Amino acid sequence: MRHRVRTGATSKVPAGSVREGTADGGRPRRAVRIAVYAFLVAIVLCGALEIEAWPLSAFRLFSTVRTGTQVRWELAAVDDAGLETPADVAAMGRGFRQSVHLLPTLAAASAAEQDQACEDWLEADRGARRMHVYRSVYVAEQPGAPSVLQSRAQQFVCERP
Amino acid sequence: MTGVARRVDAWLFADGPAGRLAALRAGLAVILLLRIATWPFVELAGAPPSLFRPPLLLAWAQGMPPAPVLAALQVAGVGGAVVAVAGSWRGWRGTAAGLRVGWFALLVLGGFKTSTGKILHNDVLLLLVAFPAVLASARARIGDRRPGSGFGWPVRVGLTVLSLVYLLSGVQKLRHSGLAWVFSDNMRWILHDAIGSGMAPTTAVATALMGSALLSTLASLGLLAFELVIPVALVWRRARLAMAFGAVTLHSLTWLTLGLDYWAWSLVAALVLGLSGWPRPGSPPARPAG
Repeated sequence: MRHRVRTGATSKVPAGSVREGTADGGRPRRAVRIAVYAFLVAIVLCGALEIEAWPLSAFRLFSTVRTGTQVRWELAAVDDAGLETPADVAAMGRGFRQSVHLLPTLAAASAAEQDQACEDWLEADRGARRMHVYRSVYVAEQPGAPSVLQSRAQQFVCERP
Repeated sequence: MTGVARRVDAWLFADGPAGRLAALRAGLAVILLLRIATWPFVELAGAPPSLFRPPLLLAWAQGMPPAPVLAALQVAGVGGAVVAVAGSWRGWRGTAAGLRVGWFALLVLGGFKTSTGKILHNDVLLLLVAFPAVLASARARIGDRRPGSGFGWPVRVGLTVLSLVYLLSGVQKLRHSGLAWVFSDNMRWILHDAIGSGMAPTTAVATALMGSALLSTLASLGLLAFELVIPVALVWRRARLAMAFGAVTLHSLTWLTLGLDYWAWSLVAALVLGLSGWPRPGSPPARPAG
């Protein structure tokens, strides 16, 4: 006879089919249930208090309204001839690809921390003589129109010794 | 325990068929395997300490581990996931342990990946939804119809976690932007930036949406509505397959327009919503909740 499984909101276990707190499908132990509730509360708290604690997250995915004004942090490489181009962090390796996102933090960091980061970028980009870090503001008149540089402020510079 | 708390507890820890837990483990293990095996984690090894910003979980690490350590984690993770997939079919005792190894490997590898400057959410949903299945110790085999609370709760808690994650994503949009998130040019500017980044496989979809204020507003509305409404799936079983379709559509469009790699989110949502929403042979034609 085929056993029909109930799916409703019930926790009643057919008598004799499973045992409490065992690996054969019984009701989970109290410690597991506490862990489940703690986990669910942690997810909600990280969202409410905007805590990022991998893998828990505040889930602020695209949560800020975008406009035609965009602030970009830029890392520029300057070669021996003085030519300045956007630093190719992707070519520096996987460990460098997201480093542009650290620029706001580094701009506020100590000179020693800035120098160390710069040294590492210059080490990864042998063709560069100097690195410049900028905070730039770009403006587009309407979606689809070209973004035009409105202002650019140099945050810090470093040079190969 | 109050009446509401008792009802929530009864729902979360209600009976479920053993085969469904086994299918959940197998599905999660396949996604874990794909995530671990298809990303070149060893290439992170060159990240310098000056650019290393680990999350709290990895605060003990002084810097990015060397390539052999990352490779060993990858191999262990893939091995664990393979054991979990095979074990779910055969009902092996080591199935749960295999899933734990795969989950832990991605937890650490993903943590190192997100230590290089930006919080990366690509693996977050998988890790969070898989956590209940990692905790569960019940032995189960695909096709096994034995009922038990120990088989049912990992699916229900996983479904709850999935709903919470999407709900939080929607609530944060309202919290930080209000209705302007939908009823402004927000989506058109998102698409404008995406076209400029060149990350998407095509600019045709983003350009078409950006070019129409109506279409872009409808896209924003649809996205936000999906994120806010998905908890309905907790109480309305019939909505789950539609929500699974909605999640896959949402993440496919995100990839097509923004080029963001959220396929793991699609698979996790489809797995959990599909497993808990798919009618089983012999089950009543309609139930209000399950």
